[in-house]
Amino acid sequence: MSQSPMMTRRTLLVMGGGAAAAILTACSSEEPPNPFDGAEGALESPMLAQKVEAGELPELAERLPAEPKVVEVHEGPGTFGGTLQRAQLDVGDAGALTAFAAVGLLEWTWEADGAEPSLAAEFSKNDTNTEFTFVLREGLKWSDGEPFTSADLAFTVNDVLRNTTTIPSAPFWFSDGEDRPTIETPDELTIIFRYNNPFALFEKYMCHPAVSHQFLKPAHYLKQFHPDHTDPAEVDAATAAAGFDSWDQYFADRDNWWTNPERPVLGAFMVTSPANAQSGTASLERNPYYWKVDGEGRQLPYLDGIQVQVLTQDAIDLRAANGDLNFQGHNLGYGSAQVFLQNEETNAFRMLRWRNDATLLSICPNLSHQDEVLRTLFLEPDFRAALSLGIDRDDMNTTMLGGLGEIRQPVPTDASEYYLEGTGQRNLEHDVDQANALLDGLGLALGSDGKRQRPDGQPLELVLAYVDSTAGVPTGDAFTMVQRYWQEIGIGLSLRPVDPTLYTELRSANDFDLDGTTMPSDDFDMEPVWLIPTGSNSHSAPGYGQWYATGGAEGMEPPAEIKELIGSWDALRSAETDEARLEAGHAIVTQHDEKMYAIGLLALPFQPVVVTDDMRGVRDDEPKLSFYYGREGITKPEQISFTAAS
Amino acid sequence: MLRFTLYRVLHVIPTLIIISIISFFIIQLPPGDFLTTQIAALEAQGESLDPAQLEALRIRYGIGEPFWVQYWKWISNIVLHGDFGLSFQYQRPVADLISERLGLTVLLGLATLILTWVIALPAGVISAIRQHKAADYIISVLGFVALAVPNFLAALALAYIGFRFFGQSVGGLFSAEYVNAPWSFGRVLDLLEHLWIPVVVIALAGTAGIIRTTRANMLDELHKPYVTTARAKGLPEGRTIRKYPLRIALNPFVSTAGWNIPSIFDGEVIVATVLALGTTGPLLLGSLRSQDMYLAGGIILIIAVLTVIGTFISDLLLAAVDPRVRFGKA
Repeated sequence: MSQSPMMTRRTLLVMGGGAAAAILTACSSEEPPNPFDGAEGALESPMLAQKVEAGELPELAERLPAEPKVVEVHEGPGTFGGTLQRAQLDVGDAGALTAFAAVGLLEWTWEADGAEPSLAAEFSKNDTNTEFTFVLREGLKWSDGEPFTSADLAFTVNDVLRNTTTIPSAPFWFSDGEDRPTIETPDELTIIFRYNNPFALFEKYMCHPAVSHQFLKPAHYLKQFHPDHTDPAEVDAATAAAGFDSWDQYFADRDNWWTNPERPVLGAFMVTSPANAQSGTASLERNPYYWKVDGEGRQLPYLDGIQVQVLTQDAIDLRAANGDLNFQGHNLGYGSAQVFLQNEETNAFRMLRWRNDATLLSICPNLSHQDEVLRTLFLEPDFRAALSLGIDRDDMNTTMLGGLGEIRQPVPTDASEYYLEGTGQRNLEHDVDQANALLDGLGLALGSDGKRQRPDGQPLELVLAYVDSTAGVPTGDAFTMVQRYWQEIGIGLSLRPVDPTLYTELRSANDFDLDGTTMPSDDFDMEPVWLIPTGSNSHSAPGYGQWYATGGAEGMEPPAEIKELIGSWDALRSAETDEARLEAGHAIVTQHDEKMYAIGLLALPFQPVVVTDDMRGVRDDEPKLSFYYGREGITKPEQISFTAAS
Repeated sequence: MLRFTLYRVLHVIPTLIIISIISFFIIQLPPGDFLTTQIAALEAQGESLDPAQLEALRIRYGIGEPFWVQYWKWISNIVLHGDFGLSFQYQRPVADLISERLGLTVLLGLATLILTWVIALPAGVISAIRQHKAADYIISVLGFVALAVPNFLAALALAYIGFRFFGQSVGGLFSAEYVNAPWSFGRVLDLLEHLWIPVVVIALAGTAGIIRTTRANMLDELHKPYVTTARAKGLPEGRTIRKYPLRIALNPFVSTAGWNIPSIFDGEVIVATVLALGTTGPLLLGSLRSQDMYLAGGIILIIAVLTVIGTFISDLLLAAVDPRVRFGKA
């Protein structure tokens, strides 16, 4: 368990009259006082009640907004207190905050199928998806007690998002493709965003926990680091003193909610000690001004704090197996699922099986290959179909995942609103004859050595670049099997496991034949590059991606069918209605299904999520562990709690 | 001696300059840069970074500049202002990152070094005077086994045993309740509880070399006439060994003592990484993997400087002990 002796003392201090007497008698009988007792009936955590008593914090009523957001508690009202233990791989990964302390004007519903009010009590948009109006709750406050108003959003949009020094080029999640938004704030609570072109995805991005918080910056704190609001000489001096070269670097550093404990936040937890310190452990504490309550009006979150330690993969898996991690899905290896199951009972935790859309291992032929012969081949649907038919997925599944894996092509699954019945099932069977017939039909003659020849007479030898990894489906093993299967259809495959950095470089330089990668597809609209070549980071066609991203100035001009795909994407993004957006999305899915631009192999059956037995409120209905939904955040962590110690 | 010292110092300066250039160059050799590494890491988790955004970040970090511009900016700041630059990954000054890890690193390094010596020196002496007897064989076998088992494997095995049989949590030098707490008696105890695994693993692996050197040197000396004379004069055996052959046998040992200075600082990269210790070792490995060039460059430069200084000290010690070295005749 994770309460420190400190907590017990704290709890003792805040006990009111009768409760104190009860505790004192308990103490005299030499039993340790139960830190959760004080929570009965109290509307706030004992930890905060103590601060109120000491005069360090205003009363709860003054800290909450006029109408706090009421959260439906998953397994009934919880008790206050306790520190949740977590671990992560990368020190700079702010995933703990986007999962456990997400904030946005809107947020995903419990079913994760749409938006519901969050910081904004009301939301409306015009008929053409160009104007979005939000009305904030009255009396919201930052974690330092300062009021949160529309002025903070005006500052964020005008001085950060529209500023070409802080953000030289607008990312796709807040530009309509051409322009950045403008903002109007008629009063303290009302905010109107305007785009020049329809932006169908704005509402979704306002729910996306890794994006939504970027619109919420504390103007009262950050203005001192911004030369438009503070004497530039002063800002420069502070920048130099902190060791940065330019003010925007220092501004970004001060604005980082994961590494700067001084930056006020709106989420359920705030960082009190960052992970990039020597201990390698971040400490998070509850935000005393958090604006959500449970059905009985008790201020959330139930937990008092979170500790996140930066560890290696082996250490994280061992810790999870030891029951040391209270609630963790992200950064847990599937390969250790067996170890988790073996230790569940002895170490008092359980392993849940969540869905993870991003584990489908796939092979992407480079449709914008620099070599014309290969490019023409890769753009030939029959060639891709033959490659797919030449793979024995059932054999791979049995060998690597004990037959538990999921076999499909990389298009959205039934968990996505873009799902179309019957898609993603093409060319999955192992049919060597059919594959050979297709290849023969393309005029790829079989040489005497059993290898096919390219139309220009050279041997058909393809190179597959991938990053060796055993975190999901083991890539090295999987591609070695593909290598063997393709021998039967006369296609030579060389494997080229590369360093992650080189892998990224090869793609942006458009210098690869085949790319081996895992492909998320359910929420492709929020990150289109997986299915549509929107940038030079595309896995299927970086050349076309660059052409699209630079408006035709650089890269390669795509053929008509890829232009059609890109056209559907433009239609999706700039759709004026949800119907039009879904229609465009379905066109993309249909095209992907029919043309099969990427070859899907095998996906993990589930994502292991460990939860210790003393936790309540974690959903067990197999939700998705997905970046777009805040990973563990999909279970609304402000409402999870420790069961009262018995 | 003075001339020798000056001559050595003159050698040190160009060596350091060349080392700094080479280390900065090597860090930049792999394809890509810090940002491409970041993208790769994001994609492994199903996220992506807009290429336009990437270009902007590249300009912000000054990553695209030519090698000599970057090198000059880096080294002049270090020499003139003691400023090692900013770590991309941690977004904090490199000097701060290193200095806050220095205490534990030196503690781990010293504890390891002392344990190595305490085990290896007596073991070497015993295996020499009991040559070809049971004690000699046992010590030699154990020493070689400790040398041959990869450190990280031993660390993982001990960590697993700790987890499996003692329910100890894996990774880090502190338990959860002490990790961000101020120093206290309990925290020190907690530290010791975690410190023994890396110390034992690293120290044992280092014993074999010293055992063999000590054993060989002792064997050379044990049969020399002056030892026989001492015995003949009736000195007790223990005193004979301690006062005569052991002192001579320690000579090469003393002259290489300076080499341990950098190893105290680098905090044993692999074991420390496996066990997630807050020392400079994992910091170095992480920075090399993510191409966090100022952080990696800073650490490598410090290690290189310490190596040069350590060698310099060894040279002086050796010169003090052996006149042949001083006059360039050896």
